[in-house]
Amino acid sequence: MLERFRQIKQLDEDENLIGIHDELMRNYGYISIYELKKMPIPTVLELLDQIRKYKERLKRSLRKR
Amino acid sequence: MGRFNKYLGEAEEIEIEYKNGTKEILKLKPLEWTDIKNLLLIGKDFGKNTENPLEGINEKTIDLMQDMVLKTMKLSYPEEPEDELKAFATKNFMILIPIIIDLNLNVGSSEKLEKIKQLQKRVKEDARKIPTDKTA
Repeated sequence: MLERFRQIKQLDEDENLIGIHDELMRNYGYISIYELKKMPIPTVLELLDQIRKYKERLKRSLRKR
Repeated sequence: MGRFNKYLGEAEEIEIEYKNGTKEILKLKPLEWTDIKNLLLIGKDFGKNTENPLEGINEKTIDLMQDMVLKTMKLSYPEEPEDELKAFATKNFMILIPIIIDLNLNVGSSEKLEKIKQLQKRVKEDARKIPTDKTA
């Protein structure tokens, strides 16, 4: 649980609400800010985590080429 | 209705053991994204002391924790009377707060990972259904 807090704190420093909104829309299409605010915390965190993992995979595959 | 609406509000069944030894299953829903700031504020104080995470927490943070417990109860049981929920949240605050934090921030279990995979699959399927400029 404490580790998760550290991750969330990191997220807070790196990203703001608009940044997260922008990131989600880039990957999943239009989402209203109202919809984002109403989304459950675990859903948003997991979506961001999936985007991060996808980017890492993309980076690795680009490095191989 | 938003695109993600159908994935929201899935309550998690949590067994709670009260101080008098009785057990009950509560269906608790996670908090909304706007509450992440409150969780972060709690996180700043919570866990400074790893042996006793509640040590060093100030009054403001305790108020915030109580707010979050009440908010979770309201989200999970909207049909119940508010004063009853408030009394329940205040009485069982110490039992509920670690569960609520875990519910919102911990994603370690395989069951949760499976849920996330399903969500990912459903999001991908929905994304395919959205018409692009090329098809229009």
